Amino acid sequence: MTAEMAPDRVVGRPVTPAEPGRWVRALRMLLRRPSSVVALSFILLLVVLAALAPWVAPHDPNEQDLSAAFAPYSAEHLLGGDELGRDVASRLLHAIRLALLAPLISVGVALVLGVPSGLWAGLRRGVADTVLSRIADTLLSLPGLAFALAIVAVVGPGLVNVMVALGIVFTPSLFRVVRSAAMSVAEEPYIDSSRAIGCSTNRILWVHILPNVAAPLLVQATILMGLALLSEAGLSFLGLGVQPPDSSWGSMLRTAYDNQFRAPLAVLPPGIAVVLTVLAFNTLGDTIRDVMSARWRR
Amino acid sequence: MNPEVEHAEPGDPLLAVDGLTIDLTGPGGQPGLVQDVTFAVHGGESVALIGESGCGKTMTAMAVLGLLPAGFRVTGGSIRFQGRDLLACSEREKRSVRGRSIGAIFQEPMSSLNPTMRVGDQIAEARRLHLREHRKVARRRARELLDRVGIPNAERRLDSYPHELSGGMQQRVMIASAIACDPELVLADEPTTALDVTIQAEILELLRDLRREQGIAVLLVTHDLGVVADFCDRVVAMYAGSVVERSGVERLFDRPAHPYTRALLDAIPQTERPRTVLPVIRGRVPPAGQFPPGCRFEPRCAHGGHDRCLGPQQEASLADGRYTRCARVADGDLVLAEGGAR
Amino acid sequence: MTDASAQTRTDGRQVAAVAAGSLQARGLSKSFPLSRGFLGRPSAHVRAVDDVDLDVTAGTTVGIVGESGSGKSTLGRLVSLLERPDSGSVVLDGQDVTRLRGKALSALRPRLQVVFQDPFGSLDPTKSVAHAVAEPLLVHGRIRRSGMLRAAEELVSRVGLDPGLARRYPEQLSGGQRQRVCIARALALEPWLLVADEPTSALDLSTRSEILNLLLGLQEDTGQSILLVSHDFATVQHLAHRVAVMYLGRIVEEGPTQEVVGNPLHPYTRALLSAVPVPDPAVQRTRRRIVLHGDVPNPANPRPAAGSAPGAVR
Repeated sequence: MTAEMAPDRVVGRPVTPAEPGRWVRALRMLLRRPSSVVALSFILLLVVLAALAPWVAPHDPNEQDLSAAFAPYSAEHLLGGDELGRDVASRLLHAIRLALLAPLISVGVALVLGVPSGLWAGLRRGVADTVLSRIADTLLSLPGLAFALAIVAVVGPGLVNVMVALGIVFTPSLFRVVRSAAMSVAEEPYIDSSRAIGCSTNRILWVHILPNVAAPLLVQATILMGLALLSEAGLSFLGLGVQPPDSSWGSMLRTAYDNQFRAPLAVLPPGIAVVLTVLAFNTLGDTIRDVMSARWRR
Repeated sequence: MNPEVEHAEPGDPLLAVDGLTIDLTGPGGQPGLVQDVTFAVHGGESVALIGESGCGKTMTAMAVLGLLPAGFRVTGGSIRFQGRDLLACSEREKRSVRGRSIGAIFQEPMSSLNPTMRVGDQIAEARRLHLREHRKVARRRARELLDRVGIPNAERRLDSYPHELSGGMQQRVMIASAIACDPELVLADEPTTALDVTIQAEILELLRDLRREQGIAVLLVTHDLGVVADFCDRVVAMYAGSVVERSGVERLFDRPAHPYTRALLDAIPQTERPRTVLPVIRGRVPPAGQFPPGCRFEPRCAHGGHDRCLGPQQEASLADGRYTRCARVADGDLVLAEGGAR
Repeated sequence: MTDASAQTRTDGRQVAAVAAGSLQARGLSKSFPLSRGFLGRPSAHVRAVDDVDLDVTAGTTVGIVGESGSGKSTLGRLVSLLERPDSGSVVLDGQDVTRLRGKALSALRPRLQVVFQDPFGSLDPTKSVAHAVAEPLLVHGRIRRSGMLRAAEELVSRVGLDPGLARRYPEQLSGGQRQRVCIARALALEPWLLVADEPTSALDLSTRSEILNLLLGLQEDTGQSILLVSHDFATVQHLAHRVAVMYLGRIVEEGPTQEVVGNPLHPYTRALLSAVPVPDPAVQRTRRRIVLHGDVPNPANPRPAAGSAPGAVR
């Protein structure tokens, strides 16, 4: 038996050293696409600006200077002043924190609720799946924003409340993505194989199924980030989200909208910020999907 | 010119593939995925194209049908069918050959049949398309064809959908549509691999009858040496994109002319010696595009390492109509063991 | 054997008694729902395995052959406790293990391991070879996470692979290498029985012989018991001491391999054997195929004499 047991001689190809894991490879592929590089750098820039806002902002965002009310774009006030003479550029920079934090809260809530239930339903099927799926269907059939408004009406306005409400609204769509992906992964022979070696259900769920549904999960979560930002802006625009004197891009849009005849250009800075950020998240989501469908699924 | 035409069989061959070379073009392209493939199929005979996965046998068959996947291009050689150069033909002319003069059968009958189309219509389609037959005439002919391929209750089965049939029955329907226009050649790519052995035996029986009664030639792409022994007259053995040996079927099993074919035969478990260690071929097939410059089998060959193995290998004719690409065998320097197994 | 239609004979061959122990399956039956009614209640069944008895003694290979729909894979899954039978029992060393659950089942798993048909699907694509091979040891607390790579390298070299492959991912391996990894994973816990479900049918001819050699060598070195499920007579004939032929969920013939192959008694066995082409044209051309007449019965609705094959005609 010795001759046959000799290790395979690798032919026509140098013996490569250990190759990087799939995440590293996926990231490399992502960095080879211009669209995802642009989107990623934009989001990274936002993160940096959010962290450095107190230092890079030219003014205190809440400092009122009535002489600068509705000031036009100038060297002193780069993006002008609002109705109370606060510096728009500084408010915009400080609002980045909320623009990133708010979607993180709602997507985080959706992940915490949607992933375990989706994995469980996908693996176990049967009664658990039927019940969870009916709940998800019911939630999906309600108009999302109206449902979030109803929750806020009960627990009261405020950014955190709004974002948690949105997270609940997002849960069914995340649940569905995870469940259907987990269902097809559960059919794979390697899940049988892990049962055969004696893995517990928990281990199968988290060690074997989750990494294999990570691709669609990541795509969905990224796209939900953009959607959450947009919803937060909408709710703050309606005055249900962030409360004065804090500002978000949505509440800034609101004040600009209220004063649109005196300062028509004031809607542009927060408006463009929202559009670009949502676009960045969606582009990132799309390219992740492309990369993963190209590389990961044989 | 194809030397096989002059030596092995008199008369013009039905299909003559000569020096066929296929490259993968575009970025990351690989030249010589199929390199210098030569063989011929004469009227009424059955030729096997054998080899392991990735050896280029299916690629060669697809080139004959003019159905290479996107990115693959024939960059050398010729494919002549009934004297006509298929590579020089227009797409329209190719279509008139494909399906009419050359019928095709593929491995997975279920995915090769249109699931939304009734069986009768799929068979009749070829006749209506190529022979411009009237719907009713074509349908009657489809019924005869279903009878011909041994499907019971042909009249009723005309209106079945493919999923209502078993795997063996689906493959019979595929055969019926392949022979619908009375082709001279049927190209069968692993037609029985997805089927049980008893069904496989029936399908091979059917193909044998078609050959005998209608004189249809069969080019059978397979990796199963049992099927080759059962069904074929001549064998074209491929390895890593090139033909290593061409031979009559008895001679191939009795006196293989290439170390690769010899090693394949040795790897077959022998009934008389169960539970003995089988000889193996060391290493594995090089990935496409990384073939060694000389003999492509040399790195794995038990007789490799010789000077003659390092240069480009030419196909050489041996006595009794065999062809080998092994320079050492051609020189008479290497004599391979005889017999089905050692 | 309780199955009256099965032909049983005694084992004429000596088996090296390296290991001890035995597995007996008695009266195993398993049905699967074909369709469900309004409330999800099954309204039709297919009997995949129907009252099957099977014995595996230590250090031997028992082959299960049959065509698609014969229930051979389900039998393999029942014996390896991946599937629970509707009735019947699996007894391992005198202990009825059929209905174990939870901890007791987990504790027993190491004794019954499985190698699956598809080496491409049976390895988690997100896990390295080292993880795949050493995971069984980790799950059963025999090693710590930090010891995985070392344990894996040892296991991987046991199945004839370069230890360096332990750091690779399944997609970087060939079919034969993957199947070796699957075998290493199944052997990690040193099972009493290895159930190999079509271990070579996704592989090329030259790779097949490597895997056959590997299984053979393992058995000769360690006295491993193997249940080999396959549609490929050549594979079973080469490895198995005894063979059981399945047809429509039942074992129609069982006995020492050489005798079943050399002198098949059941008409179905004869038909099956005669349909396998011999890779030697001189021999193959002299053989005559035995054809079974009559339609294949539908396993969902077997006739009264279910399990017995249609009549054979030479």
